Amino acid sequence: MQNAMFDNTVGLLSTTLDYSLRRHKVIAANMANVETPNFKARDLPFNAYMQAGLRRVENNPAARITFQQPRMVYDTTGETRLDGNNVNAENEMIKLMKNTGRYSLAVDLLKYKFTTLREAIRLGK
Amino acid sequence: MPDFSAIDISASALRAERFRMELIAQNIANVNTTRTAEGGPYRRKEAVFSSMYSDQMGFANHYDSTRKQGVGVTGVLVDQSPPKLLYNPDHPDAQADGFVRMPNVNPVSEMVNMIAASRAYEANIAAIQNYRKMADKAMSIGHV
Repeated sequence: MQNAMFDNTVGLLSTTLDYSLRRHKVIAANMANVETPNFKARDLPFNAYMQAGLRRVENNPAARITFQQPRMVYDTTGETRLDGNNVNAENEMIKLMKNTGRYSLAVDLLKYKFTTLREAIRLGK
Repeated sequence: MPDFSAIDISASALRAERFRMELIAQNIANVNTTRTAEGGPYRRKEAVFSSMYSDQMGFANHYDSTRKQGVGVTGVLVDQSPPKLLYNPDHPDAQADGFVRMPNVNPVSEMVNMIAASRAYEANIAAIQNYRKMADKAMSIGHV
């Protein structure tokens, strides 16, 4: 039986929190450079960051999760303007909102996990 | 716990956009200035932005919070396009042929740049607000 107290949930969720913070920096840097000539937008894709680690957990739920160092990629979805810059402000805004939403969700799930644990501990009293 | 370095990224952009706005204000203020310390009419000035990453993909280790990130103003360019000529023989700075050399400032393009700077400023404020939301949320983990 799986150990409810020391399973992967907290580790996975804190990795998500870590990822969201890092991605926020990348998006903030894109938005800071929205008017910088020849600047190319970057992104930190969730898949590349999480997939390898998640696959290991799927195969063996008890495995310790290790994630590779996230890799930055160029975001080529935006059209390159005349000044060589391809940052799309709307895109970045939406990425920012989704990213913050993901962070909030992970925090809520984490709190829920702790609440559940506390309830379980209370039962024994 | 967030280390707040993401705010520094957005703050660098706020500084840069504010500086750009100041130059635009200066350009508009001097739209009729025919005398300057350098001689001749006022010339339009523009801020040069550059991203603060020494190499493109070296950005991959940007988690090192000691590195400066974001955007910076690396210079002010003086518009070298020729001054506009306005026929006004009564003007004290009129040339012998009656034309006055006026600043090469185009109020319309200054207005457009002003809107762009203002919007970019707002976008970075939004990034800071999002970061604050995340930091507040992180604090709430303790209140189970």
